[in-house]
Amino acid sequence: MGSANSSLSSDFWPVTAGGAPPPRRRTLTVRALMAAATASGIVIVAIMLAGVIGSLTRLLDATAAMNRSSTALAVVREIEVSARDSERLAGVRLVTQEPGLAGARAQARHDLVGLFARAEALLSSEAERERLDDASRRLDAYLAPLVRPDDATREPGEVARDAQAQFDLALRDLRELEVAKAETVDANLLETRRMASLAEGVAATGGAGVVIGLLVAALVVHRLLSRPLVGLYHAIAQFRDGDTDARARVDGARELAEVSNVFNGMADSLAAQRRDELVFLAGVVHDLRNPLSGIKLGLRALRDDTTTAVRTRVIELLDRQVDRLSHIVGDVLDATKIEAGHLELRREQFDLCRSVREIVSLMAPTSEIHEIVVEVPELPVMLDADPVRVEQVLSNLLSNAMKYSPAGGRIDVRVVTSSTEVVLDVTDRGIGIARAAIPELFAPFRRRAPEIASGSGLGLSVVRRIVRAHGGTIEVESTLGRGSTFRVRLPLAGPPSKIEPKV
Amino acid sequence: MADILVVDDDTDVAELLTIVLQSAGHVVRRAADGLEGLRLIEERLPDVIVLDVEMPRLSGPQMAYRLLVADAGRERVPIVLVSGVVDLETVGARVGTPYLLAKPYSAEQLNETLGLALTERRQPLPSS
Repeated sequence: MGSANSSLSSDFWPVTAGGAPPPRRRTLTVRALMAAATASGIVIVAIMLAGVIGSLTRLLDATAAMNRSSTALAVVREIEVSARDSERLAGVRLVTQEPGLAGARAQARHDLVGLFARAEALLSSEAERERLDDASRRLDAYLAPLVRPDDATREPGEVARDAQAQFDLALRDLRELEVAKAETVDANLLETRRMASLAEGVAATGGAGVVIGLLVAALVVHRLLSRPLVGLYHAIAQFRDGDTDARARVDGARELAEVSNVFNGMADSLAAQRRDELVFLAGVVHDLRNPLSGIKLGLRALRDDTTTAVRTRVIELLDRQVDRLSHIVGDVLDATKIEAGHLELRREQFDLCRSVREIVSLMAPTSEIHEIVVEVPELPVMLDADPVRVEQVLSNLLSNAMKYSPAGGRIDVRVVTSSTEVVLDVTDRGIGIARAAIPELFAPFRRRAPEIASGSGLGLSVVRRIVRAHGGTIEVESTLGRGSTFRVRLPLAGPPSKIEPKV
Repeated sequence: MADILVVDDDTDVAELLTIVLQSAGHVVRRAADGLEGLRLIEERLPDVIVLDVEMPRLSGPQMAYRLLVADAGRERVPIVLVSGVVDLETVGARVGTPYLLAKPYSAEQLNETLGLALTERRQPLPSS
């Protein structure tokens, strides 16, 4: 019952073909798409910037190192030149022993100290510094005052040889240092070139990445947004221009796919509505044909030469055909009004049991093959409702029960009350309803079995409208081939019927 | 003139048809559904059956089918199919009769079809 109940609570105009929710597709949403595009854009640009900045920084570092190295090389060369100058000086000194040269010697020593300090600051490795220190010490020793008072034991010739040896060693150190420095400069230059080309490469790759990213983004936007959007537009335009088979392809970003789905569902329901209206028209036309036939035959009979008794009977029958016609027209009008939502209730307190008995006594004689069994409480069941509409519900359900049990049989009408509601059951033993047909049973213009029952197919939709307008519900239980039970639940007027006098 | 059986659950229309046919001089019997129609045929074989399609208990096509399978000579009676259904031709093909009257029909159409059925006397030949 629960499943039938829930399917019945669908809206009045059901989305017929879209009954089952469309299968969830694992597609990108526009939001996710935008987020992904933004994020990948940021990542690409960030990587590119980091690459360019990193390689530029290393390029600057390499340039600075090269600068230092070449300056160091220059200073070391200067030291060498100064050293050679002072050798010349020292050579003169050794030969001439001129005391006047002492001042020049001291000046040379002083200059060399300054140069050594500059060179030391520019050297990068400990080994280089040690070598520089060696050279400095040796040159210093070489340039030291030649003859000291406490050193009388040594011969001037021996002293001069020693000094010359120190000087040669110092020069060897300086040259080695120069060679090393020159190699460093070469290495620095190479590194600088490498960094420059790296920076170039990073910039070019980044640019290419941005271009490719834009192309990919354009492709994705086309696939997920523009193409489905254009497709949807065409489908809508086609549908507007009268092609009721036009449907949108469900693809692209999820939001668009869902919009397409909704459009397709709407199109399905509009197409179904149009179809139903045609079926309804056919039903109405079919219903009009019988009384029209009767009228034609009756007029013909009146034109024939017949007895007065026959003429009286024909006129009586003609009257009834005209009544039938106006009844059908009234039904259609009523149904149309209710369909359009104009249902006015004239509520009053009345006894449902009495209404049930009245309707059954009116309808029972219309069929010889059906037996209507009524089971109602003895006490009145007071409803605050529109009695005419409630009787319309009952007579619709009863005439359906008769229509759909063409072989005849028993029809039960039961009224059961609880403290809050009254339940009205109409049970037939007819052809029953296929489970699949139940959800659409209450949709307007649906006839369960057109080959068995004629009619507009509006009965059950009108019944549901009326029941809902009273704050009630209607459900159906059915087994194919065994029969159906329609169950109407209506809220009770107030406290149990004891207060009410027996009607 | 002719012995006609009218089978129609719309009793008013059936009665008016009976009056018209009787005033034309025919002998007319009436049945409200297929079962009653079969019973009347058993009593006496009519010259022609004027048969409605949609009826409770036993419909027109069902009744025609029973006449056919009974194979007792009754299947030779021509049938004029009368109905307001939209696809009367389809039903006619199923029953196998060429005599169709779509409601609402005029007295002229009635006379014409009935006359044809009475002179040709083509028996129903179901297509399948």
